[in-house]
Amino acid sequence: MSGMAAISDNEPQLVREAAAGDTTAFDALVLRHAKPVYRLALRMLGSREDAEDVQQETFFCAYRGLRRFRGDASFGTWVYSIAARLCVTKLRRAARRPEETHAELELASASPDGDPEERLLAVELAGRVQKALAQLSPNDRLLIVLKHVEQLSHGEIAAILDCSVESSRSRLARATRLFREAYERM
Amino acid sequence: MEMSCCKEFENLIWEAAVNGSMPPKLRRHLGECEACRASFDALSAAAIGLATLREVQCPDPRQAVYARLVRPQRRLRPVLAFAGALVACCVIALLLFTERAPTPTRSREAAQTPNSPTERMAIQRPRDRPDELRGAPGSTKPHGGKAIARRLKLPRGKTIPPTPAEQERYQFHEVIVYRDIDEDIQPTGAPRFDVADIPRNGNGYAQARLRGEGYIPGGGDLTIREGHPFEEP
Repeated sequence: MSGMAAISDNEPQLVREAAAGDTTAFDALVLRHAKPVYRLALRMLGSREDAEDVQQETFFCAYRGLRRFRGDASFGTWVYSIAARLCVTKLRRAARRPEETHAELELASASPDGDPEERLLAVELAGRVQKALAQLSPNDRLLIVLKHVEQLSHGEIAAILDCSVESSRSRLARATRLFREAYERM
Repeated sequence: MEMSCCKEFENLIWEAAVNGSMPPKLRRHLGECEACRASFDALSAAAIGLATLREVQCPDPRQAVYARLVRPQRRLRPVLAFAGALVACCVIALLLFTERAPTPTRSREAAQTPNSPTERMAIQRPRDRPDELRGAPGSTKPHGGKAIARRLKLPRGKTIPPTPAEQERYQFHEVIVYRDIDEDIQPTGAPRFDVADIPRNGNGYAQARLRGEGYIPGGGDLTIREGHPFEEP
């Protein structure tokens, strides 16, 4: 990140520079949003390989579409929307559920420090949550991940889903109910 | 897990589990209802579980993204390959069709009733033809404006009999065979295959006069065109 010192923190400026062909600016944007995009893909797809594919495809699409980016929403929201669309498409095509073990593996490797007993409980809990997520449709899963994992606001979710805030709220309420039911069935 | 029986508190319990906001009404209810309390505990754990899903080790995608940006679009390759194959198939099919498709065979009656003036002249007997359509006596120079009557791909050593319509039409008329000069046109012997003259033109093709059926020993392309009137010996 030392090379990023001269890079502006102003995201719209970075986007303009990246659109003009400045790869350093694009690097900064990627570094800034790589983790949320990967996390969204991982929680949606349940597979590291698929999540990496979606992450790369997202930034590939973003780079190619930078000149069309109007800046109505933030770059982060735009990139999220690309990733979300790719995840939903991938899930629909594959018509599969996330693999159950990946949440635990990912969690275990993410922070190996701490009390082993607490880690075990957390891993078990994460596995159960991921299983409940797997019971949902791609769209419902996306809403739950955006709200409760990514902890985005209703406004941001509405921007990503390209719908009104009211619609986002009602869809999230339904998805939450379905998730709660799925979780309680576990 | 036991489901909560108190429907009106379901949403409040979830909100409380996720956000930690506990309205007094819900607090009182949880103190009284064991099932809802159990549900609250379970959903609180779920909310914590959802939050723990934020912990990931993220790979750096930059190298892979740039690698993809510099290489050509993979998606286009199959499309281009398919389009190329389709075009190639069309071209091959067209070539095969034009080489093998015989002239539409007409019935004897139909053959005797030509449609166009050119066709009418083509089936006229030589002596009936106008002088301007007749080649010089003894000459094999074809008359201009000839239409391809038949194009065949001759297998090696196989006899290709003329169609009934051609036998009828060519009984008194000359047919000029154009073929590659690398292979000689040979008579079959007995059959009426007149290849007495094979002058070669500047285009690398030989001409021969053909009547009846015959074959070309080496095989090859055989194009039968209507030629100028044949002077009967």
